[in-house]
Amino acid sequence: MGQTDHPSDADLLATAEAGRDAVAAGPAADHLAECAACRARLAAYRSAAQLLAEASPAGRAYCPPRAALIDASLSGEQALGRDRHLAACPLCAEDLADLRALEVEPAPGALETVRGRVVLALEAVTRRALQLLEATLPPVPTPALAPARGEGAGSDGGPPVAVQAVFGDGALELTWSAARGAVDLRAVARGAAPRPYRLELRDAAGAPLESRASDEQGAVSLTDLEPGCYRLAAFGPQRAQPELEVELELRA
Amino acid sequence: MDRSGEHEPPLSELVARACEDDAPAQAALFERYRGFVHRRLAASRRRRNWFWLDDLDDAVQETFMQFFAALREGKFRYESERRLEGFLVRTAWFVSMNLKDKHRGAEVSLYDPDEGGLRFDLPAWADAVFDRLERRDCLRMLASAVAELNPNRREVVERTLLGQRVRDICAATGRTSASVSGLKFNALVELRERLAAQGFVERCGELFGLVAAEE
Repeated sequence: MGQTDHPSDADLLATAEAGRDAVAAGPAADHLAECAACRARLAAYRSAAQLLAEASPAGRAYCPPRAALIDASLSGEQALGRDRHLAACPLCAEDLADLRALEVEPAPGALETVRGRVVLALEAVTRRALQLLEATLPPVPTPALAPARGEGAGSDGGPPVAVQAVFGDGALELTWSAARGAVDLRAVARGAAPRPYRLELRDAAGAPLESRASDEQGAVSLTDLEPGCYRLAAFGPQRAQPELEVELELRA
Repeated sequence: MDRSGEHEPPLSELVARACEDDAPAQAALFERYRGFVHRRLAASRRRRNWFWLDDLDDAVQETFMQFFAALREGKFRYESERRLEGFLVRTAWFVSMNLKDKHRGAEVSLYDPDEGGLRFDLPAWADAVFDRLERRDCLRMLASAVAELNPNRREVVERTLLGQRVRDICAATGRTSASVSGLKFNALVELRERLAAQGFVERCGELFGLVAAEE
């Protein structure tokens, strides 16, 4: 490449970003060795690129520490500076929005899902402990949390635990019981919840496993579920998208 | 801790014992609030699309480790359950943000096409830097020089400043790689020349590790 055959801007960019060792061995090396103008442009580019990298807000170099974003004890001027920065820095604004999301109590569906997992785990542990200790030790005391029982439970069951999730203009009440190492789940529409509705049980990845339509009482029963992670979707009449989705984690 | 039938100590006592590194008290607090923290993280992950938070259980564990460390260091004094929950939430936030930082790398883009383009006002941001205040005037000079570029070059510089690479700019603008490369090269060369004309290297070069353009 002669002195008159200047590399294109795209080639110079590639050269600039390739690193100095690569430049020394690359095809533009001979030209750059002869052309002061191209060398100057290359150096100017590198200088500006370094400046942009140093000045980039993505590096958080000019942001307050996260603790300062939520520090209510900052002095007037510091607080003003922090607030001005928050107004101009989308990264810090995003962090604060993340905190606000954490401060919000989740919707009942998600809340009850975790409670269900805890209850079933306790019950299953109790049952296993009873089996192990049957011959030689006193029975394990009843756990403080009442085990979940569906309708028609035996006399040794505690009060039924029903959780409700918002469904349409009403609620979907979920009750469950664990027996024989499996879980029976029953859903009942309450209030102005859609009727009829369809309940779809999905695996953790979202693939459908079972689909049931509600009966005349607005109820659906899913029995003999194996412990694991599921998703439950409820569809109102003629709806292609679910109006309720909850995650279930049934542990043995 | 066996909660079955035994009288459970008051929360204030549990916290006080946990401050002294009492393992049963810490275990009791963990069991009592594990679900609370898990729910909050899970809901926030859904709501805020925290794709980088792939192990919720791990984040919960880390939250409690940080929480107990804060108790030992006297950073939290029990006043009410509500304040305790608030402290746990903030601890979970710090843990989550640290995980977000690990995923951030060089892939941050603050250019939001859904919001009509740039959701980042460079001059306002330069005015509002919180830390490294000695660089504020320099960043204002930079913002001013960027504003003087023609619209196409300014856009490429702003996108580069916000972490986008050539291929990202091509995808966002629909321009070819050769076009964006040429724009970027010429834009940065012009930017450097404008800054040099303002005396940027003399005033700010040391702060930003810059040397004279000529080599």
